[in-house]
Amino acid sequence: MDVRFQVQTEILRPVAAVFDAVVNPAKLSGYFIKSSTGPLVLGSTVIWKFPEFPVETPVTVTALEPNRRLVLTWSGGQTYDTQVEMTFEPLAAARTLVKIAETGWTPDEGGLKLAQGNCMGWTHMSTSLKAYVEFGINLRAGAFSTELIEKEMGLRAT
Amino acid sequence: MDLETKVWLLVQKPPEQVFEAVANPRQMSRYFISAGSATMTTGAQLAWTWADKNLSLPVRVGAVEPGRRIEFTWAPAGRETWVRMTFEPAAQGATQVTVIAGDWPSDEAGMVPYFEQTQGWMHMLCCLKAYLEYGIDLRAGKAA
Repeated sequence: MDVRFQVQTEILRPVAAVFDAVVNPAKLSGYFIKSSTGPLVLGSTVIWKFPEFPVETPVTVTALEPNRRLVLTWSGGQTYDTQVEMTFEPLAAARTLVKIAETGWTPDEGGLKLAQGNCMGWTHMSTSLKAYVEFGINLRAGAFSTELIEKEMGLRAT
Repeated sequence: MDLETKVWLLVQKPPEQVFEAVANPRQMSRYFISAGSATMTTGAQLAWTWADKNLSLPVRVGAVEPGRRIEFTWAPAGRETWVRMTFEPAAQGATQVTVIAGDWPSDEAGMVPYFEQTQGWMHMLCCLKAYLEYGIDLRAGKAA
């Protein structure tokens, strides 16, 4: 059993604006992360901090085609790495289709559960990306809390 | 083990207001559906319509506790599915909205609706939050 998921969102902005809102930490921190040690550049490893998650997450960029594709490796499986592939497809009328797929899950109950949590997370991220570039708002603000994340996901501050 | 999904989100509005934005089809049509034929009350039978997808789905409402809980069944991908939504008070006057839905077999075939419905309901909750907190329709230009 191959555990994998893909989420997608159509954004009413051109590809370049959408891509920059992901690789540029000044923008990514406007709707998803709290901070990053740097931009997403091919071959680099940056540390993401989240507004409520009690963890610091190293993220390595293993592939990057500007305005087209981004592949990241991070500890999506908590004790093991997963791969996140984001693609950006230009559509008519200066719109963009963003797809995010995450693979590398263990083919068992634990893998399914972690993948479900990240499917929820990437759906929130991609919808917040849309809200950020289309409306200039931060949908992550007041969406989660450390207390509820600990209760719902069993994560503890390290 | 059967698969069931659970998604949740905080909306910075009180439970009564968040509940109303789901139960009342005129409000729900501002961020999720094109139209709903009736309010979600205990035992109600209604239909949700998405004009852009040329889709109309029957929704059979089970138990409803105003301001707290809505349960219903529907068949979003041709398979009967149950859905439980809860609206719980959270810190600073906010509401934790949770959607639990299922179930699907724990195999390759079951994984497809498991992840599709995870995405679909999380997207709905994001649109609900954007509607109540910012008054915008995030579904315009659609997702998923």
